Order: sequence, then structure tokens, then C-alpha cells
Amino acid sequence: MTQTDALTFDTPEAMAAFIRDLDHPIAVEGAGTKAGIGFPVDAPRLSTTGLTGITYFEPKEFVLGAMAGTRLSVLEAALAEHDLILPFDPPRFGADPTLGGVMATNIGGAERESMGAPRDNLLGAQYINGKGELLKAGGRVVKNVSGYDIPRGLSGSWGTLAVFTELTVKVLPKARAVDQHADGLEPVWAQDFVWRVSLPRDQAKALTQAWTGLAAQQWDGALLWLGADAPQDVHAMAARAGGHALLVQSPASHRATDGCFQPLDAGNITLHRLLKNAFDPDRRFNPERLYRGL
Amino acid sequence: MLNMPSPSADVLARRDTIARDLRELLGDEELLITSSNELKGYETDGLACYRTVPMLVALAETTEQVAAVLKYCNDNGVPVMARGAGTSLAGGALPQLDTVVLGLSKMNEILDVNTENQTARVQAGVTNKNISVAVDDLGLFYAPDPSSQIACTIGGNVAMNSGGAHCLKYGVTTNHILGVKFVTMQGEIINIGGEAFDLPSYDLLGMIVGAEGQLGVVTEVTVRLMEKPEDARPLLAGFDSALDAGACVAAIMATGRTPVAIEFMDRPAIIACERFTGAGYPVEAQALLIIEVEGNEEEIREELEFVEGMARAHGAVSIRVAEDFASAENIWKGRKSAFGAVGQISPDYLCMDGTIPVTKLPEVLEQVYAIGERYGFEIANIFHAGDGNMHPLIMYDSHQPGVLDEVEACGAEILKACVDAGGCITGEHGVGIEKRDHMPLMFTPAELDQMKAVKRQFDPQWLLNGGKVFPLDEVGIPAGQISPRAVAA
Repeated sequence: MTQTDALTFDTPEAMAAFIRDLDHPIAVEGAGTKAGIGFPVDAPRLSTTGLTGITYFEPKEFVLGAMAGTRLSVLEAALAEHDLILPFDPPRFGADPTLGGVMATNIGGAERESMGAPRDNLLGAQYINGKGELLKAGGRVVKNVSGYDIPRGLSGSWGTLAVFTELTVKVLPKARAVDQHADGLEPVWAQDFVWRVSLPRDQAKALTQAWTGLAAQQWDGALLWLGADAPQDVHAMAARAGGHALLVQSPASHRATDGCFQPLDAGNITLHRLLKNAFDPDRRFNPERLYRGL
Repeated sequence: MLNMPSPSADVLARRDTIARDLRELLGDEELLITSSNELKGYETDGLACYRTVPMLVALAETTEQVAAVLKYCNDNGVPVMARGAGTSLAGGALPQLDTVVLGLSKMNEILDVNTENQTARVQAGVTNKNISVAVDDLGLFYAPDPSSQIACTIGGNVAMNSGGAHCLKYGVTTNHILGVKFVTMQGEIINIGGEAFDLPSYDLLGMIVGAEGQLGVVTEVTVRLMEKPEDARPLLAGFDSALDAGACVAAIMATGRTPVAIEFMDRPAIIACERFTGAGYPVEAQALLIIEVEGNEEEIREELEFVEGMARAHGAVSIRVAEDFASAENIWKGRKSAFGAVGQISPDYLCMDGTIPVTKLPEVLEQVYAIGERYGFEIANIFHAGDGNMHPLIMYDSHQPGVLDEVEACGAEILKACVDAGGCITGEHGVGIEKRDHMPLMFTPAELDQMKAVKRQFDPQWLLNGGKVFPLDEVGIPAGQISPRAVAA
């Protein structure tokens, strides 16, 4: 897939108008750095990469707002001038993701334990729902319980509920950052299949001992990266350990039949469906990227 | 004065049948409260200017009972509201005449503590403080600390996404919840999350935490525990001017060296607290800051030096550092009983909860005083200054006829000033009924409609904790007049 054939828009308003008039589903993406995760979506692609730029930056308040398609590298460069960093440090998957993509996928970085997942640092969002309405939620202050927490509710939805168009996030002084890289992560990524497993720390040892492929760990054991040259039922292993796994690298043919996301019980699927109904009732965004029937 | 939805005459007419059915579902006579005397204990919460005696109170001891009650109410069109300790300052636990209150205070067991994972699984009715007490020996604690933590329950904290003084460093409730047992209005019991970080796909916890108990009822919570710091020490700094204190906060925060907590009190609050607790606050000061730092001995010394320097540079006239645990406890005792203390000097008060960017503190404080003066109310300010979460307490006497309307108009202006400064109408108390009608200050009808679309999916009949969060005309519920206190009389 190349970037050139995805639809882009210069303004959220133009994108909202386009979505409002849609009579078919679309595949929503940012920079496409995680395009290899989830069931393939067979639909025209819409990318947020046309929506770029920092919209609000108050270094003394440690708050930054930017359009969803702004690359992390751009944000980091602007922050570095003030000795600031993004507190969340999402895995880059070898590329330069957009801020919108990072929030929509909510994958915690190496320092998640102390700094929080991306969603923990999300203060506000402007987004387009499945009806093509351009809406905002949250705000610019850390403490805010004014109404339902829609920004967090949309995090981790992988573009299936709404399209983020602008986000406001917390930033931090550089001095507080601690770098911690995982040993053995590179060989894991050299495998055809790579899973990212979040699990209770006390289960990590047993799971890695039972694992026959390559493994690396972060978060003091509460996050495992597992690599193998053939498919394994890591989802079942993760569930037994009380955690969940995401297949982050796999051949397209495997992905198309088995998907990547941790299977959910009926109750959790019901709640996913309720949110889908509430935000994207006509099923326009990324149909079935996460789960069949959703 | 706020309107509430008119009670359903049909539901009220079925009261006896509903009581009989619920008694049977609960399987224990004692768990259903029907006598008007006892029901009165559930007529209000921390927003005591509004009172309505509920139709019935069902006390649940198990998740299955919660599920049975919710399913019954759903099947029979009966309004229902979960209640923890009833400490909401926003009327979040205010029932209506036709409401079945689902009391969760009997579900107060700590089910499991896992030291290695640093998690605790507790029932919804466990008090916030008791979680920390239970894990204290392990060197752990539960970080979000609402001032009402001795009484308020974790279930209520989840509903309101509660904050507290130490949230400046540690984050609020939503940052500390790993899993919940969630009961839907249809009576389905669903386990969401667990002991692992984050969820596999949709952030259902993000959606549920802070939804004010309108999407379902949480009966168990898995919280993340933090390691206790080696030591912590508060410093008290008195200022000649509230604006200087505000500027000091903004300056400290701008350095990025975030203390664990920065609390602000102005003169009316200082005097009230000192009289109430004898915490040793500087009664001659116009404002004081409680700034807490933590770490090992050396870190504490360094941070205290830094904080003290900042305070002096901003005109602090008195500085006192807690020398030992007892004096630290005493300093916090004053702050944590501040609302009670103000209650001693004023017959009534209304507590605001707007949050603003910290850099705007001096300017908004000035506006708050000006607004109070214009309305002729004295305002005591006690708040979490480090994260810009203001708590102006508007003092009044409810015996003056029509005063509540004036107080609420005064409060509305303060909230508007917060929103205009780039902030929000509620930082940690929630919308409840109190700020329900101010939601349009922050959100367009379409934005409110999106939130309501979520509510409608989870609770299509709008039975669960209705009449709150959204302006009534927005939810299509006809408004009936319920006067403050009148119903109780």
C-alpha cells in the first residue's frame, strides 16, 4: 500500500462533509504504520495525514494540541526546543506515526508503567463521528470530568468509531524521561509472527517458560513480545494468564483469516457493539477490522 | 433552583408490587428499605440543598442481586440509581420520588491483593481510604485521594472519576483502574479488564469511568496500587495576597518540578479551618499554600529548598515545614476537613469545581472575588491549585427566601469564567444535577447528543440515574418542579 492512493483533506470540515455524504464504508488510517494489524479492510482509504500542524502549545502549562495527522517526529522536534517530551512513548513500528494514529490505537510504550498509556495523557479531542458530525470532547486541562470521557472512550478503537481530527495532550519536561529498551526485541521482530502480550506480572515467568519461540519483556515483566516463525495460539495463552495479546506482525494471508485482536467474551463484544452503534451506526469506519461482525 | 424530571405516577402507583417483587429478588427482608423514616437517610448526598426521599432502597450484598434488581427495573420501567456512600458534591446520588436506590455499601470486602502485580480487587462499596489501609503494610497505597476518602466508596470514585490532592502527581481515578465487574441495565454481568495494563481493543473502562453511573453499575473494581514514597513532607506558606499565592503556584508548575500536591486556601478558608481543627495555619495570612514533596531524605531536602525559594520569591510571609509525621498529618487534617470547617462558619455553601489552566490562576481568582462581591456572597477558596482545579465555596443562608437562585447564578458566572479561561465546569466532582444545566457552556447540542447516544445504547429507557449530566430538555424528560428541602419537609 502506498500513501498516494488514500484520500486526504486539508481541513476537518472538508473531511466531515465527505463522511456525511458517504454511501459506502471507508478504511480510516493515519500514516498507515500499523496497517499490518487487524483484518484487512476492503474499502477506499481515508487518511488524516492532510490534517497537520500544531494548533496550541503552552510550554508553561505542559499542554500541546495538534492536528491528528501531525507526525510524532514533528511534535518531538517542537517540544525539544523547550526541553519537553511526549510522556507516552508508543512503539514506532519502524516508522513515524501520526498523533491521531497513536491515540486511536493506544499502544503503551516502554515507560507505560510510570508515564501511562497514550490515553492517560489525552486531554481532549476533536473528532468526526460516523454521521459526519465534527465534534469536540474533553479540553485542555488535566482534571476534567465534564460529561462522559469521550476522548478515552475513542482511544483504542482503531478508527472504527470515529476519526480523530485534532488532539490535545499532556507533555512533560525532558528531565523526567527514563529510557528503557527491551533486550532481545530485535530478534523477535525478525520473526514472521510477533505478538505483544499485556499480562499480570506474576504470570510472565510461566508464560515465557511455556513459550518455545523468541521472547522479550518490558514493564518489569508485565509486557511480553513473542516471536515465532509459525502461528501459535497466543491469544489463548494470554487469556489463561489473565491478559491479552495483539498480533502485531503477521503474513497478510494469516491476518485475513484469523485476525489480530484478542477474542472477547460475549459480554465485552456486546459493549463494543453498543459503542459502535452510538458512534458509527451506519458502519462506515473500518468495518470488521477488529472483530468479525463489528 | 434546578428542576428534576416529574416522577412517574404509574411507577409510584405500583410501589407496593415493586417492593414485594424486589424483596423476593433480594431474598432477605432486611435488604429492602420501605419505611419513610429509613428512606429519609437516602434523600440527599453532599449537595444537601437538594433532597428527595426515594421510593425504595434495595441494599445489595452480591453482584447477582445487583443484576436481578437492574433487570427487574429494566423489565418493569422503574427508575434506579446506584449509591455508594452518598458523598457526591454534585448531587450525583440524589434520588427522585420514583427511584429505587440500589445501595452498595454492604459490598465492602477487599477480595484480593496481589503484591507482585501491585493490584487489589475490591467490592464497589469499599471506602477509598480502606484500600490504602489494607495494603499499607505491603508498602503500597491507592493514589487518588478525594477529601472525602474516609467515607467515599471506590464505586462512587469510578462513577465520578474522582480526583484529590495527590492526583497532581499520580493522576485521577481513570488512570488507576485496571478492571471492573460491570452489570448492565439488562442484568448482564460483564468482566472488563483485569490485572493487566490496558484493554485489548475499545477502552471500555475509559468510557465507563466518569459516566456518573449512567451506563451500568460497577460492583467490583481492580485498582492499581503504587509504591509508597519513603517519606513525604508538606510545607505551609502564608502570603499577604491571594494573587501572589496564585502566581507562586503558576511559577512552580512552569518549572516542571511537580510537587505531589499544591493546595490553596484563602483567608476565609484559613480562618474556618484553623478554628475547626487547630492545624496551626497562619490566620493573619490572606492565602496559604500547602505544598507537599516526597522521596528520600535528600530528595525531600532538595525539593523543599526549591519550593521554599519559590514561595519567598513570590512574597511568602511565613513558611513552616512539617518536622515529623504528626505535624504533617495535622497540616493535611486541616485541609481535608476544610469543607466541614466552612460548614461551621456558614449555614450553607455551594462548592464549585471548575478547572483552569494554572497560568490563569491569579486572573481567574480575581474574577471569582469580583463575581462574589457583585452578588454579595462571601466566597472561601480551597482548591487543588497545582492542576488548576478550583473550589470556590459560595457561602449563604438557605433561610433567606430565593437565595439559592442567586447562589446558583453566582456559581454559573464563576464556571463561565473558568470555561472562558480555557478550562472546564467540573474537574473532579462530576456534573450530577448541579452542573447539568451548565453543560452547554462547554458542548454544542450535537456534542451532548453524542454522549446521550452512548447512554441510549446502554440504557434505552433512560432509567439508570436519569435527570443528571444533561440538561433536561436535551433528554426529552419532562421537568417537574422539586424544590430544595420542600420534599423532605
